[in-house]
Parts: sequence; C-alpha cells; structure tokens
Amino acid sequence: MAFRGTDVLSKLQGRLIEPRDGGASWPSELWTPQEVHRYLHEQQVRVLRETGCLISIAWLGLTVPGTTVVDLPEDCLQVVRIGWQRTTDLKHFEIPPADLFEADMARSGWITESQSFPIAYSIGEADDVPNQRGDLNRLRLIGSCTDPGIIEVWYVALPAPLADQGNPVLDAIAAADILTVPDVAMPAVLWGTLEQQTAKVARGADQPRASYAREMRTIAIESIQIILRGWEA
Amino acid sequence: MPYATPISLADLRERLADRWEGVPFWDVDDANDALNETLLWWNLMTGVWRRRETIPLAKLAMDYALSSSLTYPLRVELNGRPLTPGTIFSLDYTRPGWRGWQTDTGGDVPRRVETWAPVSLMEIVVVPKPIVDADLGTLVIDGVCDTPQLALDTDLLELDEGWLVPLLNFSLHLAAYKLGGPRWRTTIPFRTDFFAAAAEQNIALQRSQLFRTYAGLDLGKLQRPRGGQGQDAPGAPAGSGEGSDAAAQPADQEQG
Repeated sequence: MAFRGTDVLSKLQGRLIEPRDGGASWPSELWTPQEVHRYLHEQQVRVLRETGCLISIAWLGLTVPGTTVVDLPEDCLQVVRIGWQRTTDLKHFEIPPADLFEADMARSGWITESQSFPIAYSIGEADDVPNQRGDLNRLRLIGSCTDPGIIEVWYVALPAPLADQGNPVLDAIAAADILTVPDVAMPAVLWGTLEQQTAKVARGADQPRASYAREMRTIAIESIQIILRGWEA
Repeated sequence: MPYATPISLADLRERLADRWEGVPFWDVDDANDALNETLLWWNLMTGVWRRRETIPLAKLAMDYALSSSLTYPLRVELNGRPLTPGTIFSLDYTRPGWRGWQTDTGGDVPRRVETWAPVSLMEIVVVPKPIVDADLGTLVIDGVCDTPQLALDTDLLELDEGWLVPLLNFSLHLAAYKLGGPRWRTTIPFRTDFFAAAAEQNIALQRSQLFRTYAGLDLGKLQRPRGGQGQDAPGAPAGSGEGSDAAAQPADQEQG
C-alpha cells in the first residue's frame, strides 16, 4: 500500500496546526500549497535517491563492437550499477564507475586499445571532449570492446510527480497522487517535508523543530538502509 | 507474540487520550495520525507484521518482484529448502560475475539455486539462475507486509500488550510536535524508549551506531574500564570515580 499525497499533506497540516484539507490551503500563509507540494515531491526524490529502496532494472539493447555511448533510460534518477553481458556466451561482467581522468591515469592507452569488454563507465562525459560535462542521460563506456554485448542498468527511477504543481488541488483530487515510496518509507518523506517547512527562512522558521524533523528523517533513512544491508550475520 | 490481544482504534485512542489533557489542540484526526504513524515506524524498525508469498521460479530468471503488499523479504525457501541470505555488496565482492551464473555454469558455481539477496525493498535476486526443469519450483517468501493503518474506530490491531506503553507514548510524542516548546520537549524521552523497544525486537538496529545513539544504547563509555583506579559501575554515586564523569552520560540526553 502506498500513501496518497493528499493524505500526507493533511498529516503535515495537522502537525503544523493548519486545517486539514489535503494541502489545498495553508491559512497561516507561512507556506503556499504549491511550495509544500513541491517539498513533498523533492523529499520523495531524496529518499529514493539516498536509500535506493526501489530499484529498476533495464537492459539497454545490443551494443555492437566499438559502441562507446549509450542513452540511459529517460526516468533515470541515479545509476546504481552497470553490468555488461557478452551475447556470445552470456558471460556477465560488472562495470565499475570511473571518469576519464581516472581512465587516463589507470590506462593511458585506453582510447586506442580495444578489449573484449568495457573496463569502466562514465556518466556526463559522453561528448568527445574529455572532462567537459556532457549529457547526463548518456553513458560512456570506457574502453572500446570488440565483442557484442548488452548493457544492464540498475537505477533509481524518478518518481512520478504527484500532480501538476501549478494546480495541486485539482490534480490531487483527480487522482494520480499516490506516493511512489513504499509505506514504510513514508515517515522519511513526511519528516523531510516538515524539516523543509520549519526551516523556511520566513516568519514560520522554527529551528528546534526543524532540527528535530531532520533527526527523525535521518533515523528513518538509516532504518531503511539497515533493512537493505542487514541480512548477513 | 505473547499476550497479543486485538485492540481497536477507539481503544487505542482512549488510552492515548489518557496521556494528554483534552484541550482543543487535540482532535480525533491528530490522535489517529499519531497512532498510525507510530505503527509505520514500528513496522519499519521491527518488521513485526508479516505475511507469506509464493512465486514460481522461472527458467533463466534471476530477478523477482514482490507484490505491493509485501514490503520487504526476511527469508526465502525453495521447495522447502531455505536459501542463504546475502547482499548485492557481498555478491559483487565475493562472487564476481554472479549476474551471469547459471546452474549449469560449472566450476565453483553451485549446481542449484543457493542464495537470495534483496535488490530493493520490493525486489530480490536468486543466484544462480535455474536452467533445467529439475531446478524449478516455488519460492516461498516470508516478508514484512504493509503496515496496518487504522481508519475506523472498530478496526482491530493485534498488538503485544508489552509494546503498548512505548507505542502509545511515542504516539503522544508525535502528536505533541505541533505544540513545540517545553510541553513537547517533555515527551522526547518517549522517543528514546520507543527506539530502545524496537532495538529489543530487531538486533540489526543495535549494530547501527546512529541508531544506538538515538535509542540511548550507546553505553560503551560507561561500561569500558577507564584508568584502573576509582572505577565506578554505571549508576554508582556521583563523584566516586572516573566512571561518574558527566561526559560519560548516554548521548541521547541532549537529543532534540
């Protein structure tokens, strides 16, 4: 079960002594509906990115020998892991991240040499000019490979926006306002939003409660991370 | 779960109301929100509400998505045989190339499905990939289900009577956040108690230094012998030795 955005907004209103109406109005005028809505979306993105609590796996299709630049999935927020599978014998290789500077230092002839599989990958350096920021949605394979293969990407997907941020009230009522995070991750989103609200540089700034909300968010994030790494003795 | 008795939302709210003065600050929605959020925290930290799910193992498939009602897995069986739990980190660093492993790969690769690991809260991998019919079967996954959320006064929750006090006190603490100031700060120790109760249920929490700090469990400074002479046991009269140093108090006392 996932939570509705309007329910979470009502909970936030309750915590901040505002009338509960699904985030449609904030009579204190310390916040606007649009900004709280954006805070909530930003916190979802933050929680997903920090914890990797939801991972998507995509295969980027066949790469012919010599391929060095591949487009990442459009909803890719953060790459978690890249693998490359040789199509001839289905052998799988994990590809580590590196930037072009590291590649130069590690293997000076990497541009001209070729090997059977890529030695590393880099994101944001897909252009031909090394160390210039390239397209962040493109993956550059470091090392030209001679064998055909397919690239596997594990990534954190961007959550669906809760509603049109220009008119959150109508869009929220129109549905499509389900949080992407699983229910156990909701406290992290809730307290992150509270932190953002109480830390707003404005009349409503409340440092003790902002610090406290930050602590609660940190504990929730840590608890999720414990789940994901905690099985082994 | 000893002494578990179903308790309704109305009963929980009544017991929560015992802990505050019924001034107009508090209403039914505040109480329900605080109680339901407490249940979310409790399930996140202890995984106490569990459910079993079965998924057929498919040929050449390594990744399995859990249903939306199973938030995260705790153990996995295949045809009555428990699989060894692992992590992606341990697989990467101890078994390079594991993503390509199949039961017929040979060499050091196991000849049957041996290991499972969580990819995320709602997805697992099994290693190696089954390749022949004899490897197939049914995965039985015992996992944590969605946290019960109480909406109607008559909704029932099965809860260990021993957890009730830390849970209700934590609900009080969450609800008091709206007040801020000294009345809210008075309830902060209830958070410490709640985290300590969660750590009793889930040993994995106790391995986290951050969590131990917030749960008031980081007592290392009090328990370590320090300097030989004048060593006090924790709780010894103040000033009788180094162990009574104020700096050695539990770290949580200044939280919040």
